[in-house]
Amino acid sequence: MEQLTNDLVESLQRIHKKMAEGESLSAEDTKALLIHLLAQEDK
Amino acid sequence: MNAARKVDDQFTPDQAEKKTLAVLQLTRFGDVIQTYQAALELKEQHPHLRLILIARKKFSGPLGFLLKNVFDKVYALDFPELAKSDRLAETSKNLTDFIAAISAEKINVLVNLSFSKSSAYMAQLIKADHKLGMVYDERNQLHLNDTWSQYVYSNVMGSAFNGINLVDIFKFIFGVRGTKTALPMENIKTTKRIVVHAFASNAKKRWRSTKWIEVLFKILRENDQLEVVLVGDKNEQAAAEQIRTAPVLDPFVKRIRNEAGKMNLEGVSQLFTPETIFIGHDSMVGHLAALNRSRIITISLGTVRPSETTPYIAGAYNIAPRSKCFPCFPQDNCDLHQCHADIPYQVVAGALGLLIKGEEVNAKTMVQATSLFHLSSVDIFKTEFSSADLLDIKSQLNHEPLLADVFRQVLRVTWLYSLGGVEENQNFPQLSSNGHKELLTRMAGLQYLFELCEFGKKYSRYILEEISSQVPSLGKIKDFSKKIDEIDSLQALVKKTHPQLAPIVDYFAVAKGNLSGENLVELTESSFVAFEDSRLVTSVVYDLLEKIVAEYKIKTTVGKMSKEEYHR
Repeated sequence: MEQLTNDLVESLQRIHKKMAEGESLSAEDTKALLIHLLAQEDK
Repeated sequence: MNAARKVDDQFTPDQAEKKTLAVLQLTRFGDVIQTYQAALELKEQHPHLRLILIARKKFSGPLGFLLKNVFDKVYALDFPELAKSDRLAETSKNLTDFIAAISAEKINVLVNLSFSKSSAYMAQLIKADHKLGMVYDERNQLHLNDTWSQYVYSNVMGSAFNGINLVDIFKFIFGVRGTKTALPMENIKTTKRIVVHAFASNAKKRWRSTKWIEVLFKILRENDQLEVVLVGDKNEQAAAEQIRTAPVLDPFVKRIRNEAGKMNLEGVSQLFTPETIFIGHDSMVGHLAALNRSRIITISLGTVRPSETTPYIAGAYNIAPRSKCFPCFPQDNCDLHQCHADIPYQVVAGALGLLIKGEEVNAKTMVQATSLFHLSSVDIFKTEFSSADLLDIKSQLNHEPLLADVFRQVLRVTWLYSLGGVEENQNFPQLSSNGHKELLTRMAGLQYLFELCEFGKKYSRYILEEISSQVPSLGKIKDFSKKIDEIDSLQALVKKTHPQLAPIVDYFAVAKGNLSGENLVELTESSFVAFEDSRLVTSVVYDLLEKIVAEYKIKTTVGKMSKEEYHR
């Protein structure tokens, strides 16, 4: 999961910036968040 | 066009009219089984409904032998398979395909029973006409559109005062009532086998093996025909073997089987015959025993809430500690595990011994089987279905109830009435002098909460009056809104001084966070209704506590009277 985790870091940073600025998330953003959470729960 | 066929005076919808309900349950085995039990009742009452389950493959796969009885289709989320490329783009594409397949089902209602962040994001992505439970929107705002999901979020996840079994809560979310599919326990007096699950999903919830060894030693010594089967998953196999091969159990080793990691769940389920007793910690094995109508003893420790997760069958026993810190929360640090020590192995062995002989487990039989000393730090509950067909747990010992238990009981009656429209009768709890004083203090907190609700209604009304005036003043509307914010802050403070009132404050905080309305007028009207509902719930709880206090005073006064005075 190491490469996946690295790919997620950049996406999550972008998503958190959007959230902080009150912007809407795209479906791709939501999927990235979901993948991050599912990966955490699967550990 | 007549879209219905008439069959024996009942109308059956044509295929095109069939509705589809999808259940999202991404949590663990026990939650999947409890979802299954609630869905059984839903299917029984609405046989023409198409039911779909979305669950994790590692939990739904082994339970397939059950799930196929009620779900028309199971979508199994296999995250390791989805993520096998170890790249985000590929994983995201696989996830898209998975969700697209679900969305193609044309779902009328999606019910998220998982109450986790991941499930709330998944619920956003799945297409459905209506969604219940936790759902995030595109602005990352969490929505809980139905009252019972708001209850779970505020009272089940957020507090230890929920007194309603999760299967009943799931049924309320589905909109069904009744217990047609909850079969009674087999009334068998002979026991050939004990199935033991000595493990749990985390260390807080399970005893150390030494205590289980003590229990098994006593039981095997006193019952020379009894077989013991240790069950668990592959990770628990070694620990189960340590129990089986403990030196003190050597004389009985031929009667102890270690099946941990060797049987699938269908095999474990088949162990539960009428002559079997299950004993173990809070885990899905107890729920499997309930589905097979076996006798059950659950030992609740750590974060376990007996009223919520006890196996859904009447006549099951649940042994819980009377430790002040029980139940705790997952985030609470604990190295001491006082609750583990507060359940002596003698109590567990005593209760199990009684059940093996076909006897009841109650105050009288337990004092004979153990001692008052051993029983002082535990409570033993037995499940029963109430007059309202809802599972409840009743103490079998004569202890004075803990304040938390009194509030759990009072809040249960209140929430069932205000959210479910259900009137349930309960016996008065037996208070002590200290318990009586504590209740009076909490009643003062309720009065304060009641007044805050009245103020909340007042300022909501002022906003509505100002909006409908000839020349509405934005300044006044802002001032009234600030007052409502202050009221919300003061209600949050009440939680700190009166933690037993947190369920009421938290529920209505969640309800107000999910107000319906597209404009300021509609939102303010919803706010008014929320404060009114909060006021009603507060006054119901106050009335119930008042009655309990009055009952205590009557009993105390009668108790102090001499025989002559009483009969005069």
